[in-house]
Formats: sequence, C-alpha cells, structure tokens
Amino acid sequence: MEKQIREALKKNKPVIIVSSTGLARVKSSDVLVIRQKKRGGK
Amino acid sequence: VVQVSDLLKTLIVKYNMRRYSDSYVLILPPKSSFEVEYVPPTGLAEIVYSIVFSPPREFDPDTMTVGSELSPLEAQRVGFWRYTQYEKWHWIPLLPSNTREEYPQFTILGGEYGCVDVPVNDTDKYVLVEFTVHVLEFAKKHLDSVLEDVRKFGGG
Repeated sequence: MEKQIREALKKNKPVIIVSSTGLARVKSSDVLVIRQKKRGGK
Repeated sequence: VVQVSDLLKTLIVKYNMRRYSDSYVLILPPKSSFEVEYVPPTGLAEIVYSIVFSPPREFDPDTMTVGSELSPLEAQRVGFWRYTQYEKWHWIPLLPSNTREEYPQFTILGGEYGCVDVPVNDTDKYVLVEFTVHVLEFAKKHLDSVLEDVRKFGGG
C-alpha cells in the first residue's frame, strides 16, 4: 500500500483510503482509491 | 461524543436499522481536489447522522510521515464542498471550530437522495485528513415510511 501511495503522490494524485464498508465512490481515475480488506468479522 | 438522538433510537427499533461507522483517510497533494459520491448497497438506504473530522495535518510524501496540524489560516483552505438533499452547496473548512466537535448530519442516501463531497486542498503543502461517518442502514423499502415518521416527529 505504501508503494502505491508514494507513486500516486509523485504524480500529484490524491489518495483516499476507504474502510471495507465504505460507501464512497470516486469516478476520476486521477485518484488512488485504496479499499481496505475485511479483517475478521462477518 | 457522538450520540444517537431519541428520534433515531425509535427509528432503529421500528425499522430494524443497523448502526455502523465508516472511516476515511485522505492524502491531498497541493492544490488538489476530487469528487466523491456516497452510494448505498443495492436494496438498502442509509441515514448519516454524524461526521467527525480530524484537523488537517502536514504530510511528507518522501518519508510518508504525518506532521503537525495546519494553522487556522492554512486550515481554512482545506475542507469539503458538500451537497445533500437537506444541505445546500456549502464549504466546510477544516478549522478548529469544525474539527473539535462532531459535525451534525441528517443525510439520507438511497433512491432520489444523494450526497456529493469535493475534498479540496488549496494550500501549497501535502495534507492528510481523516474522518469518520456514523451511519444507520435499513431496507430501502422502508425509506418513505422512515421519512414520514421524521416529518411527524417534527410536527410537519
């Protein structure tokens, strides 16, 4: 994840890290969207 | 402290709503912005009843470290443009007066009800912001009844 973030920021792309249940949808491809994987739970 | 109002407690029980929270981390390069929509899962509707924003902090992309909070003069240039069914387009600057307490909400998501946020960093620094939204989720088929109950509660 850190490598992805570094590369995005080098290109001046914003980064959004979304929790696994997150409702956020980003249309632009000029944004790095990282959706956290579910850890445990149901 | 984020609290659930008496109205929402009543709706939770009546419509078998499920409460949860979602957290987001944003890293915004200098002079950047983008658009976010919030879309509920198929067959479900949501009420966002609170948001808690962190203060904006400096971020060093070389070392990946988070630095100090921006001063209020800088922080006023970092924030969100926001629009929902019950909120006009407005600018939420991440000033201490907005980040030291929860930001009240009554945002409906689902059907014709939507929400758009545009996070903005208008400073010359890399900035990290995090926020948590507090949500009630329920079957979309109850949406009209939920809104009718809210209207009755308000005497409308």
